[in-house]
Amino acid sequence: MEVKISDLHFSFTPGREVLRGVSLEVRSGEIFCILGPNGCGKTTLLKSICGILRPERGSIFFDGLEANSISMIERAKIVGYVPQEQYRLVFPYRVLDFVTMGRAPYLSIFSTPSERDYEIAEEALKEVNAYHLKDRSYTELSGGEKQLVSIAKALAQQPKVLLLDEPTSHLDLKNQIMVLRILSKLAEEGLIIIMTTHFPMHALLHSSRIGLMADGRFIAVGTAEEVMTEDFLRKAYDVDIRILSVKNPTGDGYIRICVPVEAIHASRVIRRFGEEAEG
Amino acid sequence: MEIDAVMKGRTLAITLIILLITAGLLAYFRPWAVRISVLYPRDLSDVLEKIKAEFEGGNWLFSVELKSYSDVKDLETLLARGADIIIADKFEVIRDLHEGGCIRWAVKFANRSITYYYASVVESSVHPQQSLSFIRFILENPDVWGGLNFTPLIPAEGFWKIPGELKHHLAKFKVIVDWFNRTVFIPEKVSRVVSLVPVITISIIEMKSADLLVGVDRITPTSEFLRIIYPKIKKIPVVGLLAEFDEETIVGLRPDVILASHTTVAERFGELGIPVVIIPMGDLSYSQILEAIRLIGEVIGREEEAEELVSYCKGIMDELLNVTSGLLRNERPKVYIAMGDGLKTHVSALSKDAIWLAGGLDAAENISRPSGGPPIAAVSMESVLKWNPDVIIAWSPKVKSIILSDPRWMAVKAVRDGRVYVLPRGVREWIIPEAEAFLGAKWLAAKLYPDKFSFSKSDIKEFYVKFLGYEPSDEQINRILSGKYVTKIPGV
Amino acid sequence: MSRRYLGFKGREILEASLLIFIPLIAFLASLFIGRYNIPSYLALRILISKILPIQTTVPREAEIIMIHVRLPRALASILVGSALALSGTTFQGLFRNPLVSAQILGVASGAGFGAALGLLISGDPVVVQGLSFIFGVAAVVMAYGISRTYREASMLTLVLAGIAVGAFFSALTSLLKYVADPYERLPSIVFWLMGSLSAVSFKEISLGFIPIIVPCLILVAARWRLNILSLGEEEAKALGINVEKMRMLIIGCCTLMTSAAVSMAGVVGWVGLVVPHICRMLVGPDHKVLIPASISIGAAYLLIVDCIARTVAPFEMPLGVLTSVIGAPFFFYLLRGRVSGWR
Repeated sequence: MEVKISDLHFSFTPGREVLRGVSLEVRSGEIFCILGPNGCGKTTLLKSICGILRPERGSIFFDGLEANSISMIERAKIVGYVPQEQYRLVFPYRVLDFVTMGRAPYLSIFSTPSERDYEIAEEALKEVNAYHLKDRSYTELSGGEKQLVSIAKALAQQPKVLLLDEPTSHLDLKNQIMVLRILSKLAEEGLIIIMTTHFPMHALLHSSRIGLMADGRFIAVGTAEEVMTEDFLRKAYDVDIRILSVKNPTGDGYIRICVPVEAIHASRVIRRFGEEAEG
Repeated sequence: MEIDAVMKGRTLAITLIILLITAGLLAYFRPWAVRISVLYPRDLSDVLEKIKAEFEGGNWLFSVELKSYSDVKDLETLLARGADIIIADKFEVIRDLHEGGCIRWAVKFANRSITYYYASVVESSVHPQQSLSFIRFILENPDVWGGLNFTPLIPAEGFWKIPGELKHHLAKFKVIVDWFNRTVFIPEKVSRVVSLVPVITISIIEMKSADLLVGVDRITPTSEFLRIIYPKIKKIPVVGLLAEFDEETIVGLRPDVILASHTTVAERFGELGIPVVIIPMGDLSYSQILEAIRLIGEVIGREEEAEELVSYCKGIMDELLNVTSGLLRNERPKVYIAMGDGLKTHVSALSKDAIWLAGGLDAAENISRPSGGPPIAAVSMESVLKWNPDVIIAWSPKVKSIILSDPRWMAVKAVRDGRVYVLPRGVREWIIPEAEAFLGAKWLAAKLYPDKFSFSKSDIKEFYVKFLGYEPSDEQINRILSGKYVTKIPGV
Repeated sequence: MSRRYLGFKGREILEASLLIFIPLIAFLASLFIGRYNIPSYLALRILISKILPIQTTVPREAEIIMIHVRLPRALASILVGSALALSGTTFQGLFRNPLVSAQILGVASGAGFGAALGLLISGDPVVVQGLSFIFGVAAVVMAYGISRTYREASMLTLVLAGIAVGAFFSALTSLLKYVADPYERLPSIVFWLMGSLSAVSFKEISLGFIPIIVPCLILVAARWRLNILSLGEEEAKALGINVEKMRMLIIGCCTLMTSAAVSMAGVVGWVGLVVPHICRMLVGPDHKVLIPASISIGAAYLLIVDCIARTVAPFEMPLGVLTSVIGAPFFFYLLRGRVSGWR
């Protein structure tokens, strides 16, 4: 499966473009991370891909099929979307019922899910290691659990492409790592993962390719080495960032990390650390 | 020689002084003067002092003795000792004195906010003429004693047997006690009447006094039959209905009295100074209606016409009671009044009374009038079937056709026996509290006991000729009896 | 494992049978209960004589009461109760708001106005029912049309337009009440607005039957989709649902049902607000079960309330008053210790 996006334009209010000509190509097995400051259009881009928003100009191709030529239902069988805010659910659906809702594209308007549909939902839960939650009530879950269950719901669509909007923003460290690990596994199984994130570190450590977005378009697309330079990062975030190489604590080689300069200047701990090192 | 002159001068001076003192004393005490004693409520001291000063200033022959009292007991004590003039601040006091024969008339001459003040000359006064002139003085010189707080009534109002000298100082008023025992002062001669109650309006027309109406309720002019027999009704301004009224228009019409059924009207117009007589027509039974008609007659000053109407109606009532008052409950046929879709019934005091008077038994006797609203209650089909009335009175031809075309009503005895009668309608339905209700009772009695009562077209004609001045044709009478005259909704 | 997705299967069967039996018992009870005393054996005989071709003589009045008075009332209660409850549940899911009932788009106000107009100009029950239904639907169409003129054609604008239209028709109804003859027409209007099934016959039922049953069946068939809609507009779109079309379908169905129900019974509030909550407490939020439950419980609720309305006093108690008076304490009792069915 290949997703190709060319020259996408979108504006919410006429005259104010949010996407200004976005182009992109992603292949099966890739994790593509979109980095960029708030308001640069990351969420809008994702919503355009899964069909929630209709771009004014430009096109999206799924394996050569133009997105506008297929129905919404067909698109939903290809693209799964995990939104940023956790579902502001008013009803305490059972987790299994919730995940089964992902089967909607495969059911007509007058049908209810079959045994097979429920089985697929259960498998999706197993994929994300959340099977033990299946009889709980969605509204009672913790933030991390909700995120996993949302991913399971998207997986129940049996998509080829998975879009995730800042999947780790509201999670604690342990949950962040868990989610990223699962995404890596899914990519290995052949899914295309396109996710947006705030954390340059996550992009550095987990993605195959990165797209740096600013002002509605990509200012750099490529591997971590190509994109995560101090130059590009300053252009995108308007903040001074240093890329450092540190020795890999768990094996050979070096790992690249990025640190905002102001943090270095502002942090007393680091100075003290330096003093101790000297002393 | 010189001593003499000094002595003379001194004697002269002393004499002069003594003369002056004597004159002063005389002037003050006026031993020759007629002494009029005035009894008055204590809080009027300042006013009365002023009046006394002015009166005595202009009248050397009189002197006024002021005696104040603080309550009725006080007053009685002082009266027992003898007095000439009484001033009171409560009408009950004056009324009691009038009933006791102590005074023959009274004058309402001033008010201090909502308290009104009355004055009269005691019958047993030894100086009646002089006392009268004191009262005349009060009436003729309101600017003397009128002040910010104490307002003269202009014109002052007089009641009962006013003596001739005062007559042209006063507007003659009469005292009416309305249905709620309120005392209302109405001009003796009423020429402009506003009625907010439909049945009162109609009663006034039936007393051949429609010429007095300057403002009427919203419903009466919509009566189809009334528009035929009294076309002028269309020209009279409409000013409201029951508790809802157009203040400005009413005040602009300068009525002498307003007839209403809700106390809120009295409160509002009391502030504006227009007398309101309240009669709750909707709650009345037959005998009470007769009293109400008399009261209305008294208010508008057409007692004779009222009495004529009353005696006619009473005649019908007595005729019915003669026969029906002896009937036992289980001898009486059950009557059900059907309205609306058939499952609403009329539960006013009058309709129940009408059925009883006509010798029937009200099917819905256990249902009482819902408070505050119109006298209509909803019942279920099952209740009707349970009661199984012998006779059904349909409020209009429409209700009758609904009942006759509905298979569920076939099980009711009245429908099976063909005894579903449409309520006749003249000016209004023959069961609402005005004189036509007596026709209605007679009509119903004739239906229930055709062998005992007769009710012919000439009876109907007689009524309308006598009291509405109109001779209906045979065709019109038929229309009345079949309930076809309507009350048109304005504008629809 | 394949059986477990429904939970414990036995419990499912129990729930399903309760949902069928409760309204059935209420239905039978309402045939046997009433002011006119019909002994049970007689009532039974009458029923049997109608179902099976057995010849038997029964007293005429009793037969008329059971077949022509109680039976239509019971059927109407089922239709109206189900319609109102189902609309309420559906709207709460659609608007994702526990405080809405189907009245929010102005249906009841429009229907009330139509009925008042019918009572004023004619009084014929068919005219009244017909005008009531027409204006009920018209009110929602108006609200929908108004909301479309705004660029932000969201649910919020629809609700606001509905409130405005509702207020508009209420005002017009008040105007009609003012012009009406206070001795006769006005009381009929007031009585009608308070809600009553007293004059219901098979004629009214036949008029209101189709606009209630057909949308009901549609909503039952599409009930699982409602779950998806309740997730939110974007999420539903991302799952391939044509949100706009589904919404119109649902609003259209609910409007037809509610309008027909109000035109039959007058303005009966509370059923569309509380019965959905009760159902949620009993069966949970999954519309797959919730929708059938609403139909069942709604029917039973109104059957019971109507029984009370016609037996407790010699005059008819207005339905609208009773549904509130009975529903409120019952609701508070349920609320006390149970999971409320909302977050």
